[in-house]
Amino acid sequence: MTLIELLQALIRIPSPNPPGDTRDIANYVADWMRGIGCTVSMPAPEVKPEAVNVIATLGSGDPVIMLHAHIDTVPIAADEAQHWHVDPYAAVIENGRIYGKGSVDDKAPLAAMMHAMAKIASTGGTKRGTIVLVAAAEEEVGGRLGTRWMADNGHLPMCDFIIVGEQTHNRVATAHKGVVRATVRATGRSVHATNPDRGVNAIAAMARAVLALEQYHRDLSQRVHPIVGVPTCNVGVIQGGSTANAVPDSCVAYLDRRMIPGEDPAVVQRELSDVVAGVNAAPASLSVGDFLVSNWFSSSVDSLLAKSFLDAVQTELGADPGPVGYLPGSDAKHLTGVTRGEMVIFGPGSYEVAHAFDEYVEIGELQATSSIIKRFMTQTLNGGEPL
Amino acid sequence: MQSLTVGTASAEPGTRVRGVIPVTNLPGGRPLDIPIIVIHGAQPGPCVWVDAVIHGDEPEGTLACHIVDSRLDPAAMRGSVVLVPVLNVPAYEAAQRGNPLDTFSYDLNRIYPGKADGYLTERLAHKHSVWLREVATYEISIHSGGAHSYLSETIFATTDEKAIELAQAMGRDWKLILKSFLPKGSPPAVMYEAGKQGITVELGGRPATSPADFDRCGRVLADGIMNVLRHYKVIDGAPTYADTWHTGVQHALLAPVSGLFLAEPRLQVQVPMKQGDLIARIVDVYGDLLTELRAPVDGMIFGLRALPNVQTGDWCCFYAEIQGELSRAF
Ligand SMILES: [Zn+2]
Repeated sequence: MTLIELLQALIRIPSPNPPGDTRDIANYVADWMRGIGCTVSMPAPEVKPEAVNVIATLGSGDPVIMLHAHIDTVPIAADEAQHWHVDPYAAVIENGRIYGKGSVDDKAPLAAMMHAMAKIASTGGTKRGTIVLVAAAEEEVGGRLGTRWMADNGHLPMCDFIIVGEQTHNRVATAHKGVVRATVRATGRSVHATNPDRGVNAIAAMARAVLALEQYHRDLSQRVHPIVGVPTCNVGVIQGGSTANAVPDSCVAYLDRRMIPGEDPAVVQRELSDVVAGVNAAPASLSVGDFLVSNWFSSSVDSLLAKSFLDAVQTELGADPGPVGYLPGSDAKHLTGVTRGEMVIFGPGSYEVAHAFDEYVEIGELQATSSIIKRFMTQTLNGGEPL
Repeated sequence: MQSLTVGTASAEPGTRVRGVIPVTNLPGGRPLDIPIIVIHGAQPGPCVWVDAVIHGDEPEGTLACHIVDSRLDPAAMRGSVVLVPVLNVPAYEAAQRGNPLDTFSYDLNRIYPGKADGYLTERLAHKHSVWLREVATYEISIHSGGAHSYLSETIFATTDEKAIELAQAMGRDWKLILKSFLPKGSPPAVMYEAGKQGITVELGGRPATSPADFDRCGRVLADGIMNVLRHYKVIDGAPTYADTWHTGVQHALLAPVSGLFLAEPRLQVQVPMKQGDLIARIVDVYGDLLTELRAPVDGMIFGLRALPNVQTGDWCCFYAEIQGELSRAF
């Protein structure tokens, strides 16, 4: 089976999340990996037994190298379906691209990893060390019941190097931002609009809070991370009032605060509380809460394994391998507890075409991804001194 | 200046002492020792440690140690040299790759840093590592193609500048420096983990054991070690360097079928080849062609198997994928 055929097969097994039922695709991946000689397990959490993961192991001993990709995709939104120019689950090839939901995010890196492992297995396996493929469920909804659950429940081995497959145009990404989501509430007093001065307008209070948060966003640009840039704060949704002829007594805004590596989520929450507390909104009151944290990720690339990986990218692409940043989040943040080495994010294509209609992966990039991973594994696990 | 001690050998500044690193006793009552020569310079400087016969069928390094020993005058040295002419003594006695007395840890070059309470060869590796870590600034592991192959002048080194410098210090004869991505289980791995530099150098093997060939291998290796000593100013004299250094990665070309391995008669080591160039034919007992072995990528051969009769899965050819040239690391 060629790499292209493998990716087409994976795209043709829908795995949208929600609902996040990965049983079919997990079975396919598990059978395929058993077929090339891997030992396979398929753990799933009790609270969501249909969110099945696959862990396939080749070889034994140190070093342990993990290849991680997720098998769930975002669902096709109602207004998205009509924009697709092909069937999103048909895996159509056109102009050197494979189109399909999940084609680039994240079935392309998954296929590249599976195919590279098959190549290693068919040429005698690893002379030393272990390769572990993790095909994870639940990434698209935060990974709590997928990779985080596997890491916390002892399903994942301690690794010396981890490659998390996501869309980096085959450059080596060593950092991504984290997110703090929060809700800001303004509370006032409702009266009829014929005499608004007798009431307390929650929308007006929220307006001041939004401006303060905008200033906070500008101030954040003083903090710069060399790879992922600056932290940000964005008010994305605002809801308040019910009719034009009443003073609104409540207004709610939802914000998204991106953290750069090194920022402490607890400190960020305190900063948001301080910004809101500093707004002169009396007699209305303002509060911020409902914090949801998804952490940042950052790694060095100083180890021999990381250098070998950078070398493999450099050799195959003939271009600067990085490191670069990756803007969206990934399951990498859940894997920091199972690595005694370093971790990179790496894969074909762009995250900008993920989560959208006409998602595709360039076949050339897909093949380069697989060649790089194969080269890396060959030169580290089967290379070195001959005699 | 203090004396320099390795095992039972304690050398005052400006002197040369022979001794052993004791390992254990064998069932017949003989001790298992590692012979060593400690040559301690009159002035301070780095310690260059040379290991020969990690594999018992690779005696080129022993000859090289003898030549280096004969050329050095400790009174004129800044720094010191430790020579281990025969590291794996039981394997050397048996002229085999591994230690025949050890069923469980046969290949010494895969088990470093060894174990104090391990199998026989693990104990030998452990005792060796302890002194290596303690004493050596730079380590050179000498290997060859042994009984099964011939290898041309080739160095394996990690990709950091200090290791490349040590490799380049081997001098004008050593133009091929291959990448060792994950030194593990070998003396250079012990050095790497201790934050120091070790390299593996390969030259010789069964097809080069005629009087002239074996002598040449010993001398080229010894010249390289002397050049390293000049480069790090342990001894006087101007070091030489290769004009260019090719770098890349090793490809293991294994026999796809059993048969008679007939390498192309005009094939030469370390001459550039193109992907797809014919390396060898493998024929069956009747002379009928079974398969052809071709260059997997652009690169060069740096070694070939010794005996033409080959079985499936055996090493046939040591092929270097050439990825570019190295610039001077110093
Ligand atoms: Zn050897």
